[in-house]
Amino acid sequence: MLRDLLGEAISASLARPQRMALTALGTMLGIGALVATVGLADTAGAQIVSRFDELAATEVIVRPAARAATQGELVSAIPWDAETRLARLNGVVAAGTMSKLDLPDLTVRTTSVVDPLAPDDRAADVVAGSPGLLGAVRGTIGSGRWFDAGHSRRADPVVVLGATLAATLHVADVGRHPAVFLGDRAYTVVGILDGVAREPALLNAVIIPDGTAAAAFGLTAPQSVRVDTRVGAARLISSQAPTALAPQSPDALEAAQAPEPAAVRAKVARDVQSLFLVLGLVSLVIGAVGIANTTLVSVLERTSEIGLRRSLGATRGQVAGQFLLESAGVGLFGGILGASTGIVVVTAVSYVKEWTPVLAPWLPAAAVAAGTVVGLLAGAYPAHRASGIEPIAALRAEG
Amino acid sequence: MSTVVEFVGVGRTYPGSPPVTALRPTDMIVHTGESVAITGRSGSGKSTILHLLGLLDDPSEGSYLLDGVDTRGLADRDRTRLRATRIGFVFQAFHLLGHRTALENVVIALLYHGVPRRDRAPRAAEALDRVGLAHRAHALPTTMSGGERQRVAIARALVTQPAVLLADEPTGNLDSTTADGVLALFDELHGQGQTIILVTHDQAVAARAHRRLRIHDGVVTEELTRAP
Repeated sequence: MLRDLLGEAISASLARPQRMALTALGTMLGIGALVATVGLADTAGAQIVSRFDELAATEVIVRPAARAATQGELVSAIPWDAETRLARLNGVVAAGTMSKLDLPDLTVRTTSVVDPLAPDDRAADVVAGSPGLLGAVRGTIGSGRWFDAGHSRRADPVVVLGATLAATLHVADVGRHPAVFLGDRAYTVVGILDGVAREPALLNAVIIPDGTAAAAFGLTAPQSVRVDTRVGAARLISSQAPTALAPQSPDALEAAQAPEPAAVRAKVARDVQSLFLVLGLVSLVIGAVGIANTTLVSVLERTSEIGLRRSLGATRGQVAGQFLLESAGVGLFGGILGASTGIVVVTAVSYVKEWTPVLAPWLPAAAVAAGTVVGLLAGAYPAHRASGIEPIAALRAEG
Repeated sequence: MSTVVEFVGVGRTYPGSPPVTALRPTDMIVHTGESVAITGRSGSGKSTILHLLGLLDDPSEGSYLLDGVDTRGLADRDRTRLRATRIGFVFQAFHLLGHRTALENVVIALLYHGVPRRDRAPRAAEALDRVGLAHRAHALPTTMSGGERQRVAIARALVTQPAVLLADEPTGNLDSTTADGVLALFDELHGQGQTIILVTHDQAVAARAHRRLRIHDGVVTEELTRAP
């Protein structure tokens, strides 16, 4: 009997193809929005991840090995010319030393006078770096310039301020050569670090040349080397860097690729997906209401047909079953169209944005199934109404 | 001669304030092979008796035996089954599905009758042949004349080989020439032994029946019986 009811449902649906198409349109939009949003969330998430991955895959950090550090070999482990040595390796884009100075009591201020009534000093990290550090952390200069090898060699009292710190110190333009005081000594601000892809802590730091740090604060050797490599070269560079920096004792150094920010990736993908999922579900509910509405109208319009079927021997269950199958069929049709539309949208957006489209393989099938279930649920009430129509309705109706 | 329809004190009163008695307690018997016309004016109780005969309504009192089965207290499912197997309906408005061919319209009756799929089309074609429409089996109702549509409806009613053919104003939507053709078909079916009950307000239609019952203010009276 199910096969017969299915045949009747298909025949009845095809008898009004335009209505079926318009009814399915609601589900199509809902399912399409769902597939497109989930697909775009996946795609955008993957794109974000790929950006993270790209940063991770091109970053190498060289530090004294933990074992060596405990044995007090830190001083000689990383040479001052680390940047030059690493630049010779094929695959290195930029390299720079980076050392965070241990100066807990040091404050930064812009005036020489310490006024207890109007203190303007700020606590900030002081970081020593080589000229190549800017490229290695993919930083950008907003105003002025980055220090160079000459500054470092001469131990010039110059600094670059991170943008956040510069804002709190009210230093915006370095054209007039402002100075900041580290302790009691003035340093000319030569540039403001505007943005940085790696080491965001630099935006709230005072960055001074290695030579200056060695002369003024007694830095004996760089604490680490940041290396920016070409995509895919990070693994090779991390294996070669210790030997290039310390050929006599490469084991004293350890080179590591930056860990993949898996947790960040998962959270970003999850956040984006949940937002779009809500939007898709809202669209789907609207589609379901459309099916329910049209099916109900169809039941009312087809009262005499239902009455006829009942007078010919159709049970209430068979009448309800036919309408359920009809609405499920509309949902299925809308689901297929919606899944297809969603895939097209994801592909088109990815093409325009030059992203790699990412779509879970189960998503189209699940979308079609969801469309069918939505159709079934939406048809439940109209089917119930249809099953309640008595055969006497056929006699009353004018046809 | 066996009995197809038997009313024993069947009456129908619709509850309300005040209650309306549409059919007073009635005894009526229709035998196999009879052609019966029930006539009456609008509001006389014609529709009520039709609904009771077609198991579309329950009597308030009395009992109705259809082909020997007492219909009192039948569950909806059993009532539906009995209606499908023992009664063939012919409606004034034909009630054909416009998007289905004549053959498919007749097949629908067999679908709910439990007839195997492979047997449906041959039986429907046979029924159409019986009403003289074998050549129009694949035509859509929208392309057929009123007379042809009513013949398809009659074929649909006959295909389940019902104990009784119940027709409600079968010529009400037809012109006189076409109506004559349909009535001739009823005569022919009656001649083949089919039990027919026609409900009509048209005396000319009623005159073709073997028995004529008149209903007035809910009271059924035998008006005429002539030899078949």
